[in-house]
Amino acid sequence: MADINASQGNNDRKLDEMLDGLLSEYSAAQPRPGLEMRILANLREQSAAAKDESTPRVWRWNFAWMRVGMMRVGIWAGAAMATAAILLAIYLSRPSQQTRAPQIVQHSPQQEAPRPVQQKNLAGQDGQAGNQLPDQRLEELVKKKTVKNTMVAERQVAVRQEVFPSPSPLSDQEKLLFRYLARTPREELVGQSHPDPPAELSDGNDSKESNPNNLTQVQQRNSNTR
Amino acid sequence: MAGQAILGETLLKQANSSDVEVQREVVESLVSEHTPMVFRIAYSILRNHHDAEDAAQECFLKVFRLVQKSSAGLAQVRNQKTWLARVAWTTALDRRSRRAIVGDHELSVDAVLLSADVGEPAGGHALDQLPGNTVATDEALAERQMQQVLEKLVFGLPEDLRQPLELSTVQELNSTEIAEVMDIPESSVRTRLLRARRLLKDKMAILLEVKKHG
Repeated sequence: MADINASQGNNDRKLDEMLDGLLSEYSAAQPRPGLEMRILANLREQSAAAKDESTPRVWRWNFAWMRVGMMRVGIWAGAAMATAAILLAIYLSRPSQQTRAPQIVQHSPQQEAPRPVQQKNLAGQDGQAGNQLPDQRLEELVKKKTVKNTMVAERQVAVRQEVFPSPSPLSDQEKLLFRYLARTPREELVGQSHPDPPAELSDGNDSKESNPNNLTQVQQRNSNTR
Repeated sequence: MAGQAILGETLLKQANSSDVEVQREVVESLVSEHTPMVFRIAYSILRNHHDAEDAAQECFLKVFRLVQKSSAGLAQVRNQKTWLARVAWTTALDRRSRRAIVGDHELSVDAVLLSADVGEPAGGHALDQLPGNTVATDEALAERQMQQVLEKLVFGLPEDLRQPLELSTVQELNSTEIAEVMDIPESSVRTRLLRARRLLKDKMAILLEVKKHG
């Protein structure tokens, strides 16, 4: 029994020794020569790459600031341009409003009778006679204003209008013509409106027709009737 | 320990400066001082030279990026060595998990035991070549084969036991530093190490018995 225990103890000891020996050799490997140099070379590559990366980062940062600045400048410029465009549109819209409403304005001195308020204003504009202006002076001013208004109306008529032909008052000749048409009987008008009979060309012996001057007269008459 | 903390603080103060060159110099000093430790931590987890070297490189690049980023997290670091060991440990664990997802399957201990029973070539080949109680003529070869078996047994351990055991095999780390790296109490580290050793011993005893009795 004691021998068995002793042999087991010996086996355990041997096993322990064997295990210790094996475990001590378990990681006793040595790196191959040059590992340190390879690692250092890799590190240098990595640091060089890091340097390269860091340089564009600065550029990117600067570029970002430049972009922000350019955006701000662009926004301000756009706002300024928009404001200028609005102001220009307002400025241009004033004369267009005047031309948009072409009306025939016929001013008469009676219609342009001065109102008391206008009189006061005019009196204020004049400034020479104070609040009490003589009637003669007032009449002159009213006349001036009337003339101005008629001139403005004429200018407005001269502007091209939307309706063609543009409506305009009848001229004196047109009025006379209408008056003549109204008074003259219809039969007479119809009779006068018949075209002349075409010129009959006779033989070549005809002295009238052979005359070249007469021929041109006939042609002119035909063209007039046409 | 206090000296290391002061050195770490000095380095991290330097790292707080925005100059890339200074940051690189700080990391270079870490590389020259701690590359073997970082490699061993990675190797203890990945069990492959090539993967461990890649993980070491990745770890230092991570450190460089962390130093570059900001001083908020780094200012609180007191011990540069354990901080670096933690970065290396997490990097290696990530790499191992990626490798597992990709499908680089390793044999578990159960597979080793099963293959030993059935006599499959994968695990059974290693078991057939295990030395018996008698002293082997070619001790180096036997030890290498035993290492392969141990790797498979460690891989079969539960995660919470395997991680402190793997870190304990790195000669630069003691139990206090392992506790800092894993962010658990030191007593937990010791307890887990004891349990892991006991499990490994039991499994090795079983394997040896299997080998002895054919």
